[in-house]
Amino acid sequence: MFHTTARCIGFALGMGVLLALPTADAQETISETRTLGREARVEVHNVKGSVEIIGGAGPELRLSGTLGNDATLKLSDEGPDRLKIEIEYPSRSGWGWGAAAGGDTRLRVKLPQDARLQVSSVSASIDIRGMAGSELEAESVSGSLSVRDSAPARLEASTVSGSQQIDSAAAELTLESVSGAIEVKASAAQTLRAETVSGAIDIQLQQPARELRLETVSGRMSLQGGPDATGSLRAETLSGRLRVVLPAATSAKIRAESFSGRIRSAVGEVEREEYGPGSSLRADVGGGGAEIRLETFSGELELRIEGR
Amino acid sequence: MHPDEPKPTAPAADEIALRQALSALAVERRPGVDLWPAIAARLEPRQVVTALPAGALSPTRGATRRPPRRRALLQSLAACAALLAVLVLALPWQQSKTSLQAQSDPYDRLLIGEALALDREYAAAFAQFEGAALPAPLQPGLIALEQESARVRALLVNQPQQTRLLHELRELHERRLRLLKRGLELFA
Repeated sequence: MFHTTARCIGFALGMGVLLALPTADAQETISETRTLGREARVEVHNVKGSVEIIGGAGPELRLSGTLGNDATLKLSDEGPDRLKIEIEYPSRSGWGWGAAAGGDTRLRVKLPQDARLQVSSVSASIDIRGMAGSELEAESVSGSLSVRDSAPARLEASTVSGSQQIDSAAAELTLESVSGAIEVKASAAQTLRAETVSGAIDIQLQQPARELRLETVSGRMSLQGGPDATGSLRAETLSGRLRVVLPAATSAKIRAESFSGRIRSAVGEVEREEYGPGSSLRADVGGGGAEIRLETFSGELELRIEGR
Repeated sequence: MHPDEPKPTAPAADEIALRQALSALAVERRPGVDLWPAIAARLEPRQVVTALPAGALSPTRGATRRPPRRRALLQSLAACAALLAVLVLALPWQQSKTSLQAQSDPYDRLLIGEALALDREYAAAFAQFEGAALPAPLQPGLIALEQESARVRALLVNQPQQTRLLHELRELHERRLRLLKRGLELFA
């Protein structure tokens, strides 16, 4: 009985190994090095798998990782000021989905932190950290996007269904998604724009910003933070829930309105229209230097001020 | 159609289709006016009759007089039936009349006409994308936009005076179109 069982297990394991052999990715290791000039422009494009970007000191760029089955690496050297790293699959139709038979490509790029970086992917995840150049652009269709410990002057991120996790000291942030969630911790934002259709937006500001623009169609929105004394905040959603928690020191004229959603506020008095479902709120806090305009169509609107 | 209702002008085929689609949407409506005074007015004559002296209601043929308690019960039942009939008949008529009154207002009709034109215009634009292979990750966003458009459109039928609804509908269509274009760009 024992021998029969052991034989069966052995046979199953052997078959498993045999079946796995033809489908195993024939992965090729990548290793490239380049020396870049100051503030060089670097582009990295992958389709599936992952992209890891690490900014650091020094002028050297090191590319490592593994190429997926059927994938080829294309390096376009245009001198020390411009480098393009591109992964291509034989069937590129359907923005990469045609390459479903190919294996995942994993890229790791260490580069000067002052490089102007542009990263894009189809389903590959993108993880960026340590960058501090004048511009950082990241784009993905369904891959997740993460930016950490980075302080570029300008950060632009765009996804379709991929989520975004941004923890950055960028001065100017422009974030866009269709159905992916956007989660931001901004420590030095002066301008922040975030927009989705159905994805949720969660923003935490560590200091007041000059200009804040948030917009969704049905995604919920949450903002912890607010504009500086002369800044502005405009948040707008159709059916999503909008929640704003302003710092205690906020000085602003607040105008909020909803077509049919409920408004709850710690300041001011919510007025309901005599005819129709609309409601609105007008309140001035701390002298009223900044302008805050909050608007929902049918979504619930909640306004709070820290400490109240 | 009620005889008092104005005859609509001949609408285009797609307008009819849109109106049918709009009317098919489940929308809760309340009567625009308090119906009770009209109901009460219709019930009053019966109450007057019941207040007449018993002799005045004597049958002309030799039927036996009903006992007072049974008569009171029958009268109550009749009053209830009349009330029910009035409610059943008057409520839908009143609703349609209110809706038509809203649409018969020139400004409201103008806005509804504009909404219909807007839908036609964008329907033609959306039709260009029919059959196009769009990336699956776009679907949740496109579905959300379609659902919101349907909701705003349904509200617009009942509240044509709310110009904001027209603005929202246009914004949603525009956003959907941008997304469809982006989908094609991703495929290119």
